[in-house]
Amino acid sequence: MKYILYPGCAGEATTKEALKSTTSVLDFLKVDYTENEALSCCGAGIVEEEDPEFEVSINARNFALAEQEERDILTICNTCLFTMLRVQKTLREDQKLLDQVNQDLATIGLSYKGTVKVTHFLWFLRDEIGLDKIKSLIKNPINQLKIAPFYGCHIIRPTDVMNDEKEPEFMNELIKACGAQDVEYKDKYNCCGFHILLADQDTSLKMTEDCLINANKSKADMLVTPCTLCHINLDGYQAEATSAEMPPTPVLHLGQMLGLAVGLKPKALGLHQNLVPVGKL
Amino acid sequence: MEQEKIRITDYNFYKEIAQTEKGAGITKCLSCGTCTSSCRVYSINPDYNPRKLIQKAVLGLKDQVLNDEMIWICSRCNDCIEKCPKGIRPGDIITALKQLALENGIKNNKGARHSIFFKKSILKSGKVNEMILPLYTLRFKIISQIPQSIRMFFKGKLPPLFPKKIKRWQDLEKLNRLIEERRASK
Repeated sequence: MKYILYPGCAGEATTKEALKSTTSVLDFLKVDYTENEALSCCGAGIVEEEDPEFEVSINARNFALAEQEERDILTICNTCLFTMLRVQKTLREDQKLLDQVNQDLATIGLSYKGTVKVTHFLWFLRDEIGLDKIKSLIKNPINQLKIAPFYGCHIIRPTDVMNDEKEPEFMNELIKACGAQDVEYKDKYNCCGFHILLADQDTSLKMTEDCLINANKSKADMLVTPCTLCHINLDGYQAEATSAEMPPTPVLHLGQMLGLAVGLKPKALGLHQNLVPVGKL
Repeated sequence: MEQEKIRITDYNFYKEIAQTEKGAGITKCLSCGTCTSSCRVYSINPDYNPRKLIQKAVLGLKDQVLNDEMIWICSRCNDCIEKCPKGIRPGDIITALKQLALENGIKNNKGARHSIFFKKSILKSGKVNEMILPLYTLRFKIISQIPQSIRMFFKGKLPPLFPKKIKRWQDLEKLNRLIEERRASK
């Protein structure tokens, strides 16, 4: 398979270590991918609030550009995944809208056929690489660690858009494949609060704190998340979200965890850029 | 809590919501409260109560609902959409309320500013300017972001003040113009 890597806004700036670790792992796996500099922001479900037509239009443009290169879209942000899949569903179900959008796209020399597949790094690892292959690549198992998976909302819900498992277990499987112990706790599929960080910071960070406290209660040494936005709250705002008594809880990006286990160097995974120090592994 | 005064009732508000793509489910709401009881935000900040917001909308309290800043506090976790026994997508109805608030010119609050800035920023460079977004949304309350920004700076993760434009960024202006022309001719 060939891909365009779509990091999302956070992956390019505030969580650039997520992009770094993902590209390091993709290179290690010898995946054919490019970074297309013409693709725009997906709108993050926020543009939809002000101008739903514009949201559909800019996403269709991204899809059309990917189709032109005959590549699928691979993202590392749950919200990008959800937004793109939602727009694809809308366009699949509304022929009139699709015709209108294509008429607009024609003025910039593009067309959306509906052939491009949008996937997430976590799904890509599950569906294209597979657990057995991953297990065979582990050189440096991260033993003695208890890791809590934090899936994030927009890779699961709403199920009619995501068209995937309701209660995914693949990240648990990955944690075990990497040699660590997976921790069960009640916030595994819960919301980190990122999307109201600016609208209501107190509530947002209380949601984050609850997730971290519950992971800690279940004796997790650290968390791992496939979403760059969840990482902003769990790692970037951890100092604000938690009280001084709580021990700092490192939060790994999916690519960082897998990268460590396959023997990539911490620097190639941007581990030094996590706000909560990861320490020696 | 202080007794809320009920003044203006707009009986057509309910129909207005039902006609939107996101709010169509409102006609089937039983007000059972599953959305509220499954809501993570409500469990922390009970001022955000999706059942109550939807019920007020059904009663026609247009001004009160659209001016209520709480509509912007939905964290879009989509849990209520999964749990609603009638499948009416409460979270999407909240999105419809946000859309109607902006259409009705209610723009002077954090949530609305956040939303408006997104499109503005995308039109300018193709990406969201993450440096200006908090400033535009929070205004003078931006001070609350300083400690975090300092930490980000030392990790080399502060977003650029002027993000690099995407290639073919003019496409977006063109697409927007076509949409706005269509809207104006309606």
